[in-house]
Amino acid sequence: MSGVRVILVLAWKDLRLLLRDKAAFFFTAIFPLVFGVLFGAVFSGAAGGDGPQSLGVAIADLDRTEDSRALLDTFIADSRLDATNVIDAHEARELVRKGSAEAFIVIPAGFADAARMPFGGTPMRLEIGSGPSGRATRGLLTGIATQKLYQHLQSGMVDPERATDMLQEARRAMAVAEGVDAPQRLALQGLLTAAERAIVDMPADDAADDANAGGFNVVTIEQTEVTGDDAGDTPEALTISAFAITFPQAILWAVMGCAAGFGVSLVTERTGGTMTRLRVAPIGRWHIVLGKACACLITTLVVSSVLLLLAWIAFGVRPVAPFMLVLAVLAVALCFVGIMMLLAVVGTTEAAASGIGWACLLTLAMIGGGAIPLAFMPAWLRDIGHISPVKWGITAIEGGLWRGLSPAEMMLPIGVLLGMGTLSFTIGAVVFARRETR
Amino acid sequence: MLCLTDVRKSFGKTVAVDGLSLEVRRGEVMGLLGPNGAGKTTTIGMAVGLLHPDSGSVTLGSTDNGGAGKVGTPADPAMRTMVGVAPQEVALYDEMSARENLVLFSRLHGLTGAEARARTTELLTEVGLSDRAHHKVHGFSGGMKRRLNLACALVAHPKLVLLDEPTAGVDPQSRHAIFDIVAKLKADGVTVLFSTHYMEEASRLCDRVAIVDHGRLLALGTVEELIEAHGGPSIVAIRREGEEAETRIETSTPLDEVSSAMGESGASIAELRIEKPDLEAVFLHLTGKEHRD
Repeated sequence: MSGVRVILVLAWKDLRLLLRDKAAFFFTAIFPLVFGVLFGAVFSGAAGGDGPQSLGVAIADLDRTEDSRALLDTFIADSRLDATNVIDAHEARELVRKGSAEAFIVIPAGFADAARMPFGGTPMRLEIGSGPSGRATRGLLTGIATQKLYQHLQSGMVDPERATDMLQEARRAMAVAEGVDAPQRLALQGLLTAAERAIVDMPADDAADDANAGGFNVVTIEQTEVTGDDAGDTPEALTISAFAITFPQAILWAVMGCAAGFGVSLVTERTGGTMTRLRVAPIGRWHIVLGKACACLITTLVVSSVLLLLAWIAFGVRPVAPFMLVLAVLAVALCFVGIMMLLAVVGTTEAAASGIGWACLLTLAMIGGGAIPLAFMPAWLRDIGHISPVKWGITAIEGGLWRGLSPAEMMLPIGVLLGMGTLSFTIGAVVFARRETR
Repeated sequence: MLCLTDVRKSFGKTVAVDGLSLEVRRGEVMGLLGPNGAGKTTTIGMAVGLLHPDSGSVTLGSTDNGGAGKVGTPADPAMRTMVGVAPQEVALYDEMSARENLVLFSRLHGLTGAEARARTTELLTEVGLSDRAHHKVHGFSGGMKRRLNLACALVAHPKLVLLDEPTAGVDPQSRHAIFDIVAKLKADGVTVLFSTHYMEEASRLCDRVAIVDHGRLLALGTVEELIEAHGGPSIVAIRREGEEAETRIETSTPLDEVSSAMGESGASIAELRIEKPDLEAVFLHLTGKEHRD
C-alpha cells in the first residue's frame, strides 16, 4: 500500500470520528458559525432596529419650554442616538447606573433664557454624563450636543422676529453693562444696528431656506470607510459589512477548534490503545502523523470555505482579492496543522492536552484579535499580539477579503503563518517520534 | 519464527526485561507465563517493535523452506506484515462499528478495499459478531470487545500472532470462543505467542510454556517437562476410618505408596487421593507465593 493511500485511509478514519464526536464537531463547525453570524449581526445593527450602533441616551428636560422641547426633539430624531425622554436628572442618572442607557443629557432650567440671549453673557448649558468607562462616549455625545446647540442657535438667528428680540435684548444688556468704555460701546452699537438692518433687508425665502439648512457649518467632516478598493483605482465604492470583520475571526475560531480537536485525538489514540495497533501495523510513524495532519488540514479548509461561502451568500461579503484569500486560508490551515501537532504533545492525558491546549489557544485568540478586534486594544497589547498566529491569520484573511492587500503585502502575514506552522509541526513531530520510540 | 536473544529493557531504574532469550518455533503455540510485572507485556512489545531493547536482538521470520523465508527486525514495516497483535488493552475505535474497525486495520495491513471487506465478513463470522457488525464498539460487552480485538490481529492472515492476555476479564463463553480461535490458528500452522497467568489456558493450548519472572526466563518446555523438572513430588492423601485428619505422604511413586497403604490396612481406609503436581505447582515453585500487586 502506498504511503499516500495509507495517509488518506488514516485521514478518512479521523474525519469519520470527528463527525461522530459531537463536542469536537460543535467547536469545529457550529461555534465559529454562531460567532461569525451573531457578532456580525450585533456589530452591523441587524439584531434589531437601529441596534447597538445607536448610543442609548436618557434625556431630561428640566426647562420645559418651547426652546428646550425643540432641542429635545432634535436629539430624539438623531439616528445616532437611541434617546429616551425622562422626567428628571435623577431618573436619567439611574438609567445609566443600571445600564439601561449608556449616557444622559440634562437640559437645565433657564436654557430658553440663555438661548434667547446668546450675546447676553450667559451661555447655553447642557449637562452630559456617562458611566466610569464612558470617556469616549462622553466625547462623542459632547460633539453631537455641540452641533445641536449651534443648530438651535442658528435657527433663532434666521428667524427675523426672534433675531430682532435677541439684538434688542443685547442692546439693553450693553446699556447697563459696567466696564465698557465709550469707544467700545459706540462700536458695539454700530455692530448691532448693522445686524438689525441686515435682518430687515433679508428676503423671507432666504431665511426659510437657511432655517431648513440643518446647520451653520464652519467645517465639514466627511466620513469614509477604507476598503480594499482604495488600494487600486476601482471606482466602485464598497461598504464593509460587519460580517467581513467577524467572519475572519470565526474562521480563526474554527481552525483553533480543529487544532485542539485533532491534537487531543492524537492523545486519545495513545491513551485508548489504538496508537499501539497503528504502530504495529506495517506503516511508518510518519504515516500516522501525516494522516492526522491531513485530516486536520482537510477539515480546516472545508470549514473555512463553508464559512466564507456563507458570508458571501447570506451576508454579501465578497472577497476583493480571491486568489490572495485562497492563499491566506491555506496558510492559516497549514499554520494550525502545525499547532495541532504541538498541542498533541503538550499533555499526556486527554484532559491535560485539552486544558493546556485551549488555555494556549484562548490566550492567542485574546491577544491576536480573535475575540476583540485589535483596533480596540491598547497599543502595548497590539504589540504583544504579533506573537499570535491568530493575529496574522486574521490579517491575512482580511487582506484577501476586504483590505485588498497586494501579493507583496501578503508575504509578511503568510510568511509568518507558514513559519509558525513549520516550527510548531517540527517540534511536535520530533517530540511525538521520541515518545513513541522508547 | 521469533527469536529474542539476551534482550534487556529498563524504564528508568526499573528493569523490566533482564537478559531474556527465547525462541518461538514456526507453527507452535507458546505460552508466556508469569506473575504481574514479570515483563511479559514488555517482551511482547519488543517482539513487535513497539519498544526498542536496550541491548540484545529481536528477529522475526524464518529461514525454513530451504532458507527462502524472510528474516528481519520488527522495526522493519515489511516484517510486520507477517505479524498480528492483540494488545492487552482493547485497542479499538469506540465510535466506529466492528466492521469499520476491521476494514480500517485491514486496509492499513495492505489489503485492497474488496479484500478488506471480504476478510472482515470472514472474521466477524469467526468471532461470532456478524449480527453486531454495524454496531458501534462502545456498546459492546467486554467479551465482545476482546473477540473483536483478537479479530483485528488476524486481518492480514499473519504467520505470527502475539496475544497479550487475550482472555483477561471475559466471560466463560467468550473465553472458550477465544480458545477455539487459537486452536484453529494452531491447526492452520500459525505461530502463536500468548501471555497469560491462567494455568488452565497454558496447559490446554500451549505446545511449550515459558515461565518468566523479574524479566528473566525461569523455565521453558512442554507442560509435562516442566512438571517433571519443577513440579515436585506427588502427594498421597489417606484418611482411615475413625480418624478425622488425613495422612499426606510426599512421593515420586504414588502408585507404590497406594499399594503399600492398601496392603497394610486396606479395609480400614475411608478415603484415598493422589495429588499430582500441575503447572500451577510449577509456577508457584518457580515464582514464589508472595503477592505481586
